[in-house]
Amino acid sequence: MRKTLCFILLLFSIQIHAQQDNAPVVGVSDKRVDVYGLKNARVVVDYQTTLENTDILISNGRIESIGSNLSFPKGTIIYDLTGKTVYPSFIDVYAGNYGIKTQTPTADLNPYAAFMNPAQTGGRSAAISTPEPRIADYWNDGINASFDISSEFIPDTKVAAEYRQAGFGAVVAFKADGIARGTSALVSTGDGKANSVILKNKTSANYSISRSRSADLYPAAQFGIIALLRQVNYDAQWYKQLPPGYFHDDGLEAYTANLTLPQIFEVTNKLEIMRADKIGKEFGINYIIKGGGDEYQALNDIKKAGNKLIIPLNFPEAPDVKDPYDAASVLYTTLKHYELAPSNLSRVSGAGLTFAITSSDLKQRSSFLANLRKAVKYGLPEAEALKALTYTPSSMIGASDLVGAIKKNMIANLLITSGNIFSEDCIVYENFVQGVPYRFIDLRIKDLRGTYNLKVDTTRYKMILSGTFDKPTIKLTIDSTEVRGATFILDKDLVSISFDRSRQKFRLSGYVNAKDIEGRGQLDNGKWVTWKATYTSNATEPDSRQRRSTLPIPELGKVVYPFTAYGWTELPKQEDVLFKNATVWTSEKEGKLLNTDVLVQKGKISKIGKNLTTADGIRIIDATGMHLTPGIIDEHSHIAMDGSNEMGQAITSEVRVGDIVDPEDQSIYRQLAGGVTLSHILHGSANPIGGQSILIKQRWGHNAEELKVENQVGFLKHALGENVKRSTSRYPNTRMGTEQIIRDAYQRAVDYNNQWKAWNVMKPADRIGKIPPRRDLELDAIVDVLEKRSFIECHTYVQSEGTMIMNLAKDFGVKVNSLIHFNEGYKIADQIVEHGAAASVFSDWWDYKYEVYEGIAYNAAMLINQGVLTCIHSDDAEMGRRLNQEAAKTMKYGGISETEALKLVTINPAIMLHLGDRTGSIKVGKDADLVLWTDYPLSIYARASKTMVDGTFYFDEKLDATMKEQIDSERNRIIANILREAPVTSSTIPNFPRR
Amino acid sequence: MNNKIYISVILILACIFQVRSQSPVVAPAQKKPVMLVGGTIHTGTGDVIENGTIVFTEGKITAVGKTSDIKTDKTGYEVIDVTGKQIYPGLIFPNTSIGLVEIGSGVEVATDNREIGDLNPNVRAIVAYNTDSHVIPVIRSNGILFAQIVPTGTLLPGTSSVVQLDAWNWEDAAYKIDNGIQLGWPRKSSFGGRRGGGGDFTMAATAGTGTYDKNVESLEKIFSDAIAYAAVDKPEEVNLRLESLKGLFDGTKTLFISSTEPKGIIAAISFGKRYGVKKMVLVGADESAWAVKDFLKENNIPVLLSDPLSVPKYDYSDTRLPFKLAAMFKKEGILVGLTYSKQAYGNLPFAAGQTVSYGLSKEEALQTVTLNSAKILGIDDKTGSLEVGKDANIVVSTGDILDMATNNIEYAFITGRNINLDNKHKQLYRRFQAKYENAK
Repeated sequence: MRKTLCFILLLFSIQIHAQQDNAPVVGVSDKRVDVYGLKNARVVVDYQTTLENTDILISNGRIESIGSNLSFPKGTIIYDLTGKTVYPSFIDVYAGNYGIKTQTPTADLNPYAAFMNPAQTGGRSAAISTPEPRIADYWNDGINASFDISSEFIPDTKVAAEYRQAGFGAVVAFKADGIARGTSALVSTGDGKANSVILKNKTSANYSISRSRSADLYPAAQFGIIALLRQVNYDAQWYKQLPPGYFHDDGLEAYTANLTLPQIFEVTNKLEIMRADKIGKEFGINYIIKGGGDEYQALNDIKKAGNKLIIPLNFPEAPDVKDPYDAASVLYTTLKHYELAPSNLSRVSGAGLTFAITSSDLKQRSSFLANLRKAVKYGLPEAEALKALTYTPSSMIGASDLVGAIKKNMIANLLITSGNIFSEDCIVYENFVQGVPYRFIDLRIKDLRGTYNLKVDTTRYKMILSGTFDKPTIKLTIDSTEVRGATFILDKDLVSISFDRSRQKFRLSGYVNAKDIEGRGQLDNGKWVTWKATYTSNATEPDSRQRRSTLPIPELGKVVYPFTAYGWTELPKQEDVLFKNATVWTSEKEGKLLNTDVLVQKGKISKIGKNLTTADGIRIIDATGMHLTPGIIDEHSHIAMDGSNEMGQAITSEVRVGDIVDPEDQSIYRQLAGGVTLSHILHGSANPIGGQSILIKQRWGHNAEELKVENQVGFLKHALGENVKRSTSRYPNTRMGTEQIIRDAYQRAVDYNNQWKAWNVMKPADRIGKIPPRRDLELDAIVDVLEKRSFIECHTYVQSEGTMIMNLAKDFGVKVNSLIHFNEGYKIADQIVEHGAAASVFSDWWDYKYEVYEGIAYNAAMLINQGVLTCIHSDDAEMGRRLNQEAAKTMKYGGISETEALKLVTINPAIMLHLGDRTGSIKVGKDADLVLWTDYPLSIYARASKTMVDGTFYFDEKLDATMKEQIDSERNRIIANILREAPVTSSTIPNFPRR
Repeated sequence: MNNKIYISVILILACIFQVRSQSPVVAPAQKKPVMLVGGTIHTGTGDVIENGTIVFTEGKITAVGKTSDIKTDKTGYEVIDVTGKQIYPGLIFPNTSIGLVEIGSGVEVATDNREIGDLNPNVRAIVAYNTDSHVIPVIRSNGILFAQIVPTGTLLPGTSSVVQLDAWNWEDAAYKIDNGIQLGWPRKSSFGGRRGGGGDFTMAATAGTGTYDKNVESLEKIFSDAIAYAAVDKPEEVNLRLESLKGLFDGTKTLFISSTEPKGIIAAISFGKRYGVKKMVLVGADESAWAVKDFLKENNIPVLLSDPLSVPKYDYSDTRLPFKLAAMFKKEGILVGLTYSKQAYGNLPFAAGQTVSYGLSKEEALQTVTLNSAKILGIDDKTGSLEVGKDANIVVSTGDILDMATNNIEYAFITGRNINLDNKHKQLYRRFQAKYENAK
């Protein structure tokens, strides 16, 4: 049947062309009638207005007139649409790659391959090479601002048919490749030539936060992409100021010109919406953001950001939970999203956000209508749904005078349906696109489903026709016994039936006659008989699909923040707390205080003393026999970040970890369970200069911005040794080259800084005709170090490179803030003291590569004994949970005292991170970042019982156990719901009404 | 005699003045009977003897008990006063690559634990074991005296052995040679567990995915061939691979099964049963093994637990599950030994200590790195506990061995030999302390 439909569509596309054409006629012209009159329809003019008994005149692809009792000119093809409803065809504002020939990748899609050994990449080796010099375009292949889709667009009849069948009459096509993707065009879903199908060119400029294909390895990670987008914007500003004849760049010219268009930015999840918005805000751009369908998980943040949204209906398929062992590997997050995704649009709409709906991201576009109806069933108001498919998308791209409503002079894109398009049994008969009807279901086809008395010759049967409207199935019984092998074929008005009975083949052929069906048939012996099926009732066999669609919506679980296990339904609140009678480890000169009380008010430590009394409203915690310490600070961590290295270049100081903080990483919570309250999140160690790091507090449940420590200074990650030199196809390959590439970067930054200083003191008149310095985010970050706004964190292993980086820093008038990992630090502790650097080291972590061959567990103790400000870090999400134990090892290896040992993970890292006056010790006035331990905190037997950040308990052992129970019962509930539902099958044809 | 003194002096000088550090001298055989008097003895059987004494002669324990109960005449004995100190059986480190891998990564020639191919049951870890690895003295000085060294890889990576950690060569080191065959059961799914929390590159290798059936078939083939081969007393053509599997069917070798999927574990153990494997152990048991605990119990399968110092597998997992699993299995009556997967191997006792606040008693935790592992590795007839007749494999610590705050090994004996506890870390410590002291 589907094949037949396609064939019919093909015929239509050959014969009917209402569109304009300026090409010479070849052969004999075949221009057909393009005037249509639709009579007596219920017309949904736009998402707000519906007219009953209305006529529409379509001529030359446009709506000629609309009203009641229109008089149609002679030669009009008339449709009597009594009882039918007409809608404006939908608009998909996000038709990625429609009409574009997909290109073969020009580079390995795995940008990390060059850094992996062949076993990891399956034997492929990927070289990092400089791409071919480009034409006068932007230097990076990810920036394709000059691409104009009309230069490559050719309508794709197969995809166009899919769009039409899903209800779309116009889509915004663009090339879904690259970071800046050039401009899009509004095109109809008709089958004409590109000239007539393009309704409006340059409808938007498109961008993405993913790298797609690119000949350039850079940017390989998301923070690199964000840095590149920021750099392009600064470059565009610079380009505008250039005197003529100095520098030509097609990319920047196009980029600047495109800024006047609607700016559409694609992301894949709700966190990225916030990231994209932040880029936009920096440059005064309000991006329209194409999201990932999980907006409900961060609705408040998205509302605050205020972007218009384009949202897909990509509801996840039910996870396979049939086998309980297999089900164990289905994550809580997966189950929750599976359950809640269909309610996304309802929630987005409820929050008052402006959004368009797209069919993008669906596995099959044919499931669009079913999913749309599901969204409506889950609470999306029908008017909102229609608005999001008509008015909103058309106005997003400034085309509301062309498409999105059925009004005079607008393009004749409309849908003929059996009724309410949002109800599951609605039939879409035809989609008029640019005035051309594309038929799915013949308006004349009758619904034959029901029960009949079938009389063949003299034998009486009971015949029940069920199933779908256009393709009914037959059940034939005689004296309550089912006749096997019965078939029923409907071809418009003609019917064929066959079945076997009493070793006799029955072949019947006939036609529909009013409510009955009748005709003649032939038996095996060639004998002809007459037959007639007389309609008796509308009773049919139950249909599995019908059964499924009538299942009620399950009661939905709550959205949790962050959207993962151990997320909160309600965020914990700051409390005023008195810890009574604890052993208090101050990490101050007072050392360890026995039987002491600590009062916390408004997030700060307000009193320390014995037998403190308090006012009402203060929660008292009896800490008798327990130990209270400052919150653990992890000086070096890679948790809570999306990605770890921007490996595309060796110097990537422009990338900022702060751009890609992932507040949903469960490591945050798990580290709270180990007493950690603050972490320094750094770029990885693949590059000599990696990127700018960020300090976060473990405020589990808060968004990325709220995790960040207020008023922090900057830190710039540097790295030396094996990690930066291990790619044989990238400079550097030695410690010699490493020194030179860092020195060169610093020297460039000095020169750059001087250029700016000179420019800034120049009088405006003197600047005329001069070339302004170009803002360079890479060098800005190093200038920050030179100007002491940011500080050097350097991944260092062997002593020679430690000496090198300290000397290099000195040459540029700065100090290394912290030598990190530095397993051989003990060899040059005297030099470190002289330089004034701190050391952040592993406690007992060695033998994992050649450069730690002489790494020893006594390192920390030796550094401390020589007077180096030292801390113990994790560099590892697992070890981060046990930093108290790691600190304790310095007592074993080197005999450090217990109070000094605890300082290695409290006040020392706080000082190192320039937060020594705010946190890291128990002192009046400091942030209430505290851990209550069950036991001596430097013992393997101590458990963090409660962990507090800024006066708020984010971890409590007892609460943790309760949450685990809730998580388990929530998983069980959702799994049970999945099992109750029939397996999901996406149907190509919607469910049809009974008569 | 003079010559001996001369050599000793040279050795001592060599230790002190060498530029690069090296392993200390291997202890000679026990000559004189030894008596450790006054310590708290943790026998490894669950008992604690306060103010106890332990006596050993020619490498064997001859008496253990309360000091007041030991009537042995002290004449001719080396008496060591260990009053106030803690005495333990030497710790056992199963499933490790100590002595096979000298440098964790980046120096491929320094690794000797992974042979080419999937069906290598015949390759033997023992022959590649480097007694002079610089790692060995370091971990020995934390109380670890035995290790099961294992080849790694997919399907059948090879044959493991148990070694004692103070020897001149691998023949001397071998404590139980060729004790087990390693089986890496193929993975069915590519599910990796948790979301990448940072640190490493997110492209996890998913070797074996999609080839499950093929891999199982190839295991079935080699096992059925091995059974047929074992039935012939003197085969005309010797097949080293099939020869190596023989011991599984007569109980002289244990099958060490690795699988981290519930169905994989059931499939692997059923596989072993089907082919008549006498002894099986599940290695790297994690929460997937917990899911099939009843099956393990019914089949009497002991587990070598996955490193307790690891993060939970799924987002919904108990926040501290890896710390709790040892107690959970123990409560079910399943025999539990511990493994430790990171390179700083000296932390094995602390991995055991970590389980104590999460359900095990200290003595039970001790058993997970002593007697239980000895049973699992098939060496409990000789070691794993401090009992008369067993080898004198003894550690004396100033304080609780399971806690880094107190672990400080003062003596270690392997078959009565008093082990030199110096190591490369201590040597480098002294060397650079000297640098700073000289500068004063």
